[in-house]
Amino acid sequence: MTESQIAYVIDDDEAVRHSLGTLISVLGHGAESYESAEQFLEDFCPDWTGVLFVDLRLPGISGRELIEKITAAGTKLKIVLMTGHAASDSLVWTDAHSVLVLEKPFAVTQLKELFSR
Amino acid sequence: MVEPRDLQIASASRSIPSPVTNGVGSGGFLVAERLDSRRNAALTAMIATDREGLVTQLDSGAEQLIQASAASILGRALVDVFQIADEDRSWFFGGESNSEDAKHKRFPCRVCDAAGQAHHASWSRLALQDASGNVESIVFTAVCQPHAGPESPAATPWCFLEDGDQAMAIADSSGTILSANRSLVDLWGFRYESEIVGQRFTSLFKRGNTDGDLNLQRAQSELTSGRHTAITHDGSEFFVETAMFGIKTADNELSFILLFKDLKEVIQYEQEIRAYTERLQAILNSTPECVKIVDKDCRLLEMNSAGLAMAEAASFKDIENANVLELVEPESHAIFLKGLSDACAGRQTLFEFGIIGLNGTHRWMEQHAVGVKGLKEDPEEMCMLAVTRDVTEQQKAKKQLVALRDKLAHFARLGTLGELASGLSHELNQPLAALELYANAALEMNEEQQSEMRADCLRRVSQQALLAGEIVKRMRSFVKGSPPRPERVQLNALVTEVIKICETDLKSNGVSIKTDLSRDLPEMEVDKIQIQQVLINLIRNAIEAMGSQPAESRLIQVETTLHQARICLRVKDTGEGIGPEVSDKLFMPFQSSKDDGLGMGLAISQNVIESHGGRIRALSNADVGATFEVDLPLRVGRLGELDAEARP
Repeated sequence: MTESQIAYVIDDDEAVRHSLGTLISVLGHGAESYESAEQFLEDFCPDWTGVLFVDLRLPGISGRELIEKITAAGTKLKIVLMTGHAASDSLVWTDAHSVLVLEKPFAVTQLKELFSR
Repeated sequence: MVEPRDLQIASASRSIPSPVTNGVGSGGFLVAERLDSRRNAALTAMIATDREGLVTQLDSGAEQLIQASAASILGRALVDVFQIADEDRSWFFGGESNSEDAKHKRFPCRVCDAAGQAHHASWSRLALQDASGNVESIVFTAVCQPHAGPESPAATPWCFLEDGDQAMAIADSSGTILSANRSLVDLWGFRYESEIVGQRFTSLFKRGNTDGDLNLQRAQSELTSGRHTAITHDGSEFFVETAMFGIKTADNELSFILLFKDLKEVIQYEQEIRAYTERLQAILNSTPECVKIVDKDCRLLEMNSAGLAMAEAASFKDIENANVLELVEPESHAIFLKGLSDACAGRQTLFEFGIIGLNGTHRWMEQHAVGVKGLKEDPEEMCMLAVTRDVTEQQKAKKQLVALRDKLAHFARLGTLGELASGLSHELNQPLAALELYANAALEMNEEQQSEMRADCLRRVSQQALLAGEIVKRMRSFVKGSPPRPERVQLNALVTEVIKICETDLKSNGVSIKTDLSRDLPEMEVDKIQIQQVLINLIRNAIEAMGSQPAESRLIQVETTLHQARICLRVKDTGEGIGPEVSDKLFMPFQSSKDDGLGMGLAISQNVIESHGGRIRALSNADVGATFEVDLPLRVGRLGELDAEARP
C-alpha cells in the first residue's frame, strides 16, 4: 500500500471530475475537484505536494497556461495533463515542463503507477 | 367584308357614322317637306334633233312638257318649240357640246310650253357621231317641274336635288325612278338622267341584292337603310349606303325618296382598319407569349395564337367567352382572381399561376397584367389585358436548383462534420473516460466499502454510456441529409441542441456563449435539420470571426424573440465586425475569409432561410462585432420551395 496522497482534479466536465475523484478515493487517496484553472489558482500554494490532474481544454485559462503559471511559481506537484489525444507539439512541450500526458480514457494501472512513484 | 369580330380590337371602328341617314336628318326631310307642298316629281323630256337643231324624235315626256303632240313638233327648230330666250340659244348650238365638260354640265334654262306657261328646266345634251366622227344627231334631255312657276325656281325640290352633293332619286309608288340628280348620274357612271328615269330603282343594284333593306313596303312607314352592292352603267360594282323613305304628297300619292352615299371612302377606311387590325393580330400572333383579354367576370374576350396553343384550343371559338378559371389550376384560382381584380382596379400586376390545357397539360405561367377600358358596352368597365409567359422550364430548373442546393447542403454538412470530427472525438471521450473511471472505481472497491457507493458508481456508468450513445445518435441524424421535411419544432430547443453540438468547438476556441431565449415562443414549422445547419453555420461563423480577439472577450450571445407571427433569432459576436467591402458578398457562395472551407456556409444558410419564407441579414454592432439576424415566419405560407418536389 502506497502512502496516501492528495490529488487535485481540474476538469470542467462534471462526469470526468466526479468519476476521477471517486476512483482516486477508492484507491485510498484524497481528491480535491475544481471546475476551472481560475478556481484552482485561488486555493493554490506552491508547497503543495501530490498529483495535479488538469484537462488540456478549459474555458478561460487553459490547462497549458495553468501549468506554465504553477511551474513558474515552483510547484512540487506531479502534473498530469489530460487530453483527448496527444498532439506531437504538446509532447515536446510536456517534456520541457516534465508533465505527464494521459490520453482519455486512461487505465487504472496508469493511475496506480502515478501514485506509487 | 370586315368581320364584326375583327373590328372588336380597334374600338374606334365600332360606330362608323352612317353618312346617309345623318344626311337625312338635315337634308332628306327637307326634301320631303318641299315635295309635299309642291306635288309632282320632276318631268323628264327627251328630244333628238339633227345637227341643224330640227327635232327628229321626242318622247312622251317632251309632249307633256310642251303640251303639244309629237306631230306638231317634229321638223321644227328645238329652240323655237321651247321658246328658248335669245341669250340661251348659243348653248343649244354650241360646237363645244361634245367636250367632256359639256357632257356633264347641265344647263339651266327657262322654257315655255305651247300654252305660254314658263318652266324652269335643266338641260343636258349629247352629240351622237357617225363612224367618221361627224355629228349625226344631238339628244337633249330636259328635266323640269312642269307646273312650277318661273318665279320660284329655287323653291322646287328638283333644284334642291340638283344642288345637293348627295346622290338622290325620287321613285313612284311602284319603285320606278321619276328623277335622279347629277350626283347620282355621275356616281353610277351614266351620262344622262334620262338613262335612269323610268327604270326600276332596283336596276341600280346588283341582282339578288334587293331584298330586305330595299323593301318598298317597309320604306312606306319608316326610314330604311342598308349597304348594297350597286352596279354601274358599265357593269362594275361598288358599295353604297342606301336610305329610303316614303312620302305622301298633297294629293295623297305615294312617292319614295332615295338617298345614296358612295361607300368608297368608308370602305377604304374600313379596309385600313382591317389591314391595321390584321397587322396588329399578326404581331400578336407572332409573339411567343400568350396575350389575352379577360373581363372582370373571368370571361375570355380575346386570345392570340400563342395563348391558344398553351390552352390547347384548336381555335378561339372553342374558348371564346369561356370562364378562364376553367383553364387555371384550382390551387392557382385565388392568386389568379386577386391578379384579375387588381388589374381591373387599374393596378399593374405580376404573378405566377398554373394552368391545365384542354388536353390536360400542366404549365406554369408568369403573367404581367394591366387594366384596359373601352372593350365592353360600358366604356368605363375595366378588363384585364395580360401577357403571359410559359415558365414551366424555368420552374423545372428552379426545382433542380433546389434539389442541387439540398445536395450541396448535405455535402456542406459532411464538410462541417469533418471539421467537427476532432471536437467530436473529444466530446465522445468525455463520457467514455468517465465511464471507464467509474467502472474501475467500482472494481477497486474493497469489501468494506459500502454497496451503496458501488451502486452509485454503476448508475453513473450507465448514465455515461447513455450520454455517449446520444452523442452518436445526434451526429448521425445531423449527417444523414434526408430530404427537407417541415416539422413542428420549438426553436429554443433547437438552439440548445445546436449549442451542445458546438460545445467542444466553442470551448477549444475559448469562446463563451450566453443565451437569452424568449419564453413565449410557440412551436414553428420548419425543416429541423436545415435550420439546425443554419444555426451551426452562424455559431461557427461567429467563432471564426473572434479568432484574433483576446480569449476573455470572446463571447457569443444567442437571442430569440417573438414579433407577431414571426420569430427573430440573433447571433451576436464580439469579433471584427463586417467591413463594407465584404458586406455585399457575404451571402454569396465561395466567399470565405478562411484559408480552408468552401465559404458555402452563409450562402446555404441564406438559401435555407429564404426557402422558409424568412430573411437573413448581417449587421455591424454599434460597439463591437457583428450580429446575424434571422427572421422566420411561424408557418411557411406555401412552404416555399420545400414542397417543390410534391408539385405535379
